[in-house]
Amino acid sequence: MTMTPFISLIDVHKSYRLGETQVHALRGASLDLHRGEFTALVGPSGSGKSTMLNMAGCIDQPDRGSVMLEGRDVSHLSDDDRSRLRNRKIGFIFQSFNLVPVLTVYENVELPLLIASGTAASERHDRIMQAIEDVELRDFARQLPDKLSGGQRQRVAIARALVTSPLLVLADEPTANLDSGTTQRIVDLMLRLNESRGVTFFFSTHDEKLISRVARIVHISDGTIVNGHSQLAAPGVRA
Amino acid sequence: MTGGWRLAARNLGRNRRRNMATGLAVALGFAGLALLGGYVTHADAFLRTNAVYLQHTGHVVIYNSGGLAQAVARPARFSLTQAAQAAIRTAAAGDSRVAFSAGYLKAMGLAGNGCRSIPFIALGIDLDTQRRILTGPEVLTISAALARPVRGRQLYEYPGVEGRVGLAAGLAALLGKTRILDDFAGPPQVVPLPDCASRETAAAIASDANVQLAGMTLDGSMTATDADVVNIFHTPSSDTEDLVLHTSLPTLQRLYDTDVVTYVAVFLHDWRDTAGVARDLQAKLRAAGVTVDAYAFSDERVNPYYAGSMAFINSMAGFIVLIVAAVVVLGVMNATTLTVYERSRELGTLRALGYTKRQATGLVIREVALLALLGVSAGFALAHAVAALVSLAGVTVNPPGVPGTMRVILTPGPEISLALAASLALLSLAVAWAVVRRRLRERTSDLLVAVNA
Repeated sequence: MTMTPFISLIDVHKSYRLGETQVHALRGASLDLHRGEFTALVGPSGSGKSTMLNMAGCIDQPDRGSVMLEGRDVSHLSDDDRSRLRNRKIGFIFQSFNLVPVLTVYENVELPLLIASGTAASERHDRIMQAIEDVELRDFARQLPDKLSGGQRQRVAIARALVTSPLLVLADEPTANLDSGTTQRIVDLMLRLNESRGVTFFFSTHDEKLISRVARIVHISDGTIVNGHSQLAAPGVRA
Repeated sequence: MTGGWRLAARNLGRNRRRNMATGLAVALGFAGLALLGGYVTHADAFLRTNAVYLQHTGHVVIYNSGGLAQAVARPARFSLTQAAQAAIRTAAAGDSRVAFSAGYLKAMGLAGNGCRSIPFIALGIDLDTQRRILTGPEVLTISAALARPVRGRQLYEYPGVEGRVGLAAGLAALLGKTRILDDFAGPPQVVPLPDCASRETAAAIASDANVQLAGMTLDGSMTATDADVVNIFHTPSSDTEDLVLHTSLPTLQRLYDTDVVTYVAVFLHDWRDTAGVARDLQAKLRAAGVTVDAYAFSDERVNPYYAGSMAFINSMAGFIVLIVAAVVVLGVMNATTLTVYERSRELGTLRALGYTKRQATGLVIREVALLALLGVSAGFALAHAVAALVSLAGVTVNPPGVPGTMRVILTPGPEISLALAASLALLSLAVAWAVVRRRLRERTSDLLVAVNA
């Protein structure tokens, strides 16, 4: 029996204008991600990694093809419906952390919950604190982002991505701005959350250390998936 | 404070200088417009009080049909008879919006000093009504200075003087009547004049308060009487300074041998009811077979000076409002545009986290709303401080066409402040909304990588 993929991109095409140039970012890309997978998207600059993540995260809509989330075609949902879907089911981690500088760690983590309807204040507080504790930043909850190191900021971003208990976390080069030691700790954290919470991680990266520790690597080139294999477990690597 | 408002409040702390400049633009804009509104309101009240009370037209003036244009020239045909007056008074008394009403006789004639005759337009005033008007709150608070005679006291304050008249300052000067009854001891006297060509004549004319009034009765007979000048006053309009004479209604009716009046003036509790009362009274009277025309005080045929002045003031004020509002709007637009473009990546992040366009827009709108609130509050305080200073300084101006001075009062009323605050806030929010929505029309993925973030 074949398990239904958690998310499927089927023959997705996407082009956009960059100044005067028409860029064909995706040219019939197809990919299945299953629940609980920890997958790296690898490819050279301009190969379509970010566009692929944006498609998977319902940030962009394909020109052609479809995006299926839990068996449902979400590629033609309205903008508001896609926003709600992102808020409920998808978390995002960005290369530059994208924290709101005037909000504390606690408040940044709270952001996605402010628009999630039906969350009581006490429950919201518990979830925020749990997310902050998960990324080991309890002592920094009242700090502003500019008082934190790059690694700490990325941990805040991870807590923010996880606070709504999403099924999928998308990360665009999450360790690109971090030194190797910090990268190691961030990868450990992501792996730990993937294992303990069963969250599906799908992220783009150039980082060899990170690539060496993931269970599945998807290669993309010129807007097409060229290889989506699973690699055998290395020490500390989840198969 | 909810998360959205907290974020908005914190964001105001970013780019303090820019936000302060924008807030200042809103504050100064609000203060300027509020003070302008206060000035226009007071100018309107001043001119309205002069027209309604000092020119005795009332809020609603009722003439026999066609009488507004012809009653003075053809009184026999166009005046209001006793029966018509009674019908009007009864109708007015039955309307709870009406405070009181009074009949006035307006007539032309010649005023003489023994040597020289000058044409006049006399207004016969019911002196109880005059007392009520001149001691009423509208006149006392707004036009007390102009209502006070230049010399002497009000007509009703000379109950023992049978033929008392007040002369407009220009008419008094033309007649050489520089002194009034109060200047002479004892009962009124008439000083015999020397030859009108002699040098002593001017002094002799000024040495009593006597004038002779001559006119033509309704049936065409000549009529004349002696009168004593008890006061000299300024008319609310410079145009009539050489022409107007006030006396009691019975005195003037006796002179013209009639019991008619030219018009009935209806005074209201609240001037804002004017149009409704005019319409209702005219309809009611016509239905009762009394063919009259009822006019509002703001009708340019009744008070051309009031109507013309207010039209000019309102158009000037409207022009200034447009300019100031444009400056404020451009200030807010500039600040919001910079803010939104600087925070494109933040907006993209919020969108990625699940904020709809509306919710993301709402966050910026809240920020502008707080800025507008702060600006308007500061502007409100500034406007009231300036208005208080101006009041304290007792600044007066000479409005064109008015012989007296008007005290400058700039205090904006609560309606003006509220309307301005709402308008400026709404304009600011609308501009901010347009700017944010325009930016959010771009793809979220583009916002997330915006280079100017």
